[in-house]
Amino acid sequence: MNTVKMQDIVFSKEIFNPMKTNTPIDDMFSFEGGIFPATNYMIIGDPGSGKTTLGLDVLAQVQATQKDRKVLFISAEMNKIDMFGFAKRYPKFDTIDILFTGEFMEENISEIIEAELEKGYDLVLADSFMEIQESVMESNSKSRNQAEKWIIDLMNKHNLGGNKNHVYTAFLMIQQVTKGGLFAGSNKLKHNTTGMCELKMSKDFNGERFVTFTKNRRGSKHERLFYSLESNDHVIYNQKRLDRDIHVKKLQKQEENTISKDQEEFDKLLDSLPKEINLPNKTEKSIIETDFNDDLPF
Amino acid sequence: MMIYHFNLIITTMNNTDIKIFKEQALTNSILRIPISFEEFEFIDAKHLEFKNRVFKVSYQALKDLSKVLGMASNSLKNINHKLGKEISIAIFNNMLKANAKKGNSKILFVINRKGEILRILNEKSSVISNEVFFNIADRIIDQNGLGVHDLSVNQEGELVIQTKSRNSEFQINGFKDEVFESGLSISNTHFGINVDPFVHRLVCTNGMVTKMFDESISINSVNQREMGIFFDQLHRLEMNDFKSSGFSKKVTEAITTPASIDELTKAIKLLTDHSEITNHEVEEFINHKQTFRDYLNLGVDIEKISVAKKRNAKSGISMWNVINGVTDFASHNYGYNVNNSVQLQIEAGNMLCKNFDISNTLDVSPY
Repeated sequence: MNTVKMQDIVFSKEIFNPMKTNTPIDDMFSFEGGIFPATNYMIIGDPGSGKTTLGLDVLAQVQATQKDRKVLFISAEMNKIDMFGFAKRYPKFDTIDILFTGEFMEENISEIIEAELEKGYDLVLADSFMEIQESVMESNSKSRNQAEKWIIDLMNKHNLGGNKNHVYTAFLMIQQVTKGGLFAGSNKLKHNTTGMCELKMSKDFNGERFVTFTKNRRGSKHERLFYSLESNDHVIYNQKRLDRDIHVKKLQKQEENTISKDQEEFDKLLDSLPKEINLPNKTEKSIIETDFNDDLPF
Repeated sequence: MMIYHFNLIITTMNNTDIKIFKEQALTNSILRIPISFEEFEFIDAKHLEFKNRVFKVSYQALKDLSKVLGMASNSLKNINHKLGKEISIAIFNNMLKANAKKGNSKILFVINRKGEILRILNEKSSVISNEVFFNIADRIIDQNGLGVHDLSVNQEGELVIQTKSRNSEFQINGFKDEVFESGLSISNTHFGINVDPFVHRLVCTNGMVTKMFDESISINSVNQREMGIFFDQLHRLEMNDFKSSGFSKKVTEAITTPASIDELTKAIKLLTDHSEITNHEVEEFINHKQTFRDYLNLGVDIEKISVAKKRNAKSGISMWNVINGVTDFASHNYGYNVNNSVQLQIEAGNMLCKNFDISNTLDVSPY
């Protein structure tokens, strides 16, 4: 088995140039801001939490912000009619390249997807991993594990620029959750992801939606970015609230530190205190001496 | 609840003063030590033994502990009266041991840097550090472009930062001589951080601060949920330029309503109870002597009449002037050793917030 040293590996600079949406979610994906090429994120959440809308908003924003970036939406759940209505509400989704896999049920789905990815996309949103997996199982007579392996291998291939234009494709894979709200995928799939982006309805804040990363190799975890889908134009992120939550986390850390510092200061103070009651020092007036009066409880 | 606070000169403190104050406040911060009931024992009413050392205990801390133990405020006194000091202390220590055996949760010693126990609180009653307090206060001040004009710390180490909003002068309809500025009072007490709207009074170089109970915001824990609610409430205050709703109405009422004799005497007692000022010297802040003389001229010694009658007897001074007198005294060092100016400000605020005695009487009678 051949080993490698990282110093011997050379990557294209392009792989370290993140794709920006110019929205607050950039800071959730990575410390540098944006989605790095050759990364894979799972987007999970309850039905209605806005997985598709948020994913498409990311694609549309990347496309609008960086004209040279190519984005693709693989829709295995929505058909053209559904999508038409969706795009009416969010007009900026109109210009995204979409592959509707449902139209190729009688054909070889895996070949169609492979051919499309061969064109070399910077960012691909797939809705959903499980639906594509099942389509491939049915269309190509593969087992569940074989279909999963095929998708993971395909992602890896394109992560490494294995397409016509040598583009280091990044993937956003929407995935279903179990009834208990857990990720409905194998450990292999979980390990193959850069980050796990969860969309949740807050129990504490009147059911408001927020994005949080429970796993992220490129950025921070467990921050909560609240967002709203009420707009007819795009997803509205609450940057102020994110900043506030980050600030609160820092305060919590600071408070923990001061509590342990209090204990250290107290230990030092102990040495200076008497082991027996001292007679009151008349010259030194402390709060205790001034505070007490003759009206002692005992 | 409202707090009034007067300042002789309204200025914005410079950064050096603020920095020095902060450094001192951090150096002298109280220490928070969670301990179990079985770890300490009282030696006498002023001392307890903990970790083989003797700690002085404040009277307030003793009262706190009685409360934590679920005792009525005067029960210790009653036991002492009937059984004597030694037995009282033994009973008290046995109660601590009994609590320890019951597995009751820890309590919190609030200790100053001299090793004096200032407060003994339930462990869950969160005392937030001065570091975190300054962090939160700085953020509020910076985000809202507030100017700091007063910083204070009381004997128990509780901090108050008073700020004013820039260019926020306003007036109350009908009182053209009264001009105010709005701002925030941010304080760190042993029971959490409080943020209250207040108003500076810009008349005769006096400033006044008020905070209304229904607009006061507090947090006693630095968790996401509480902080989230805290900042949301703060945002609502920002939207209203930190002005207390109902403030104008209450000030108008205070200006036009005479204080009752009971309100007047209570205000005088407030000042004497919280400082070394004498009844005679209080006249400088609350002009009460003329009222006393006027009643004497009518053959009434108002100090001897019942409380009910005092509440129905008008004084020659308005509620507004009484409250201004108390808050002026509370907020400045006039050399009378005010022992807890924050508490005095709170008491003074209560005076404005309550229903005035004379508001409840009819000026006319058909008989």
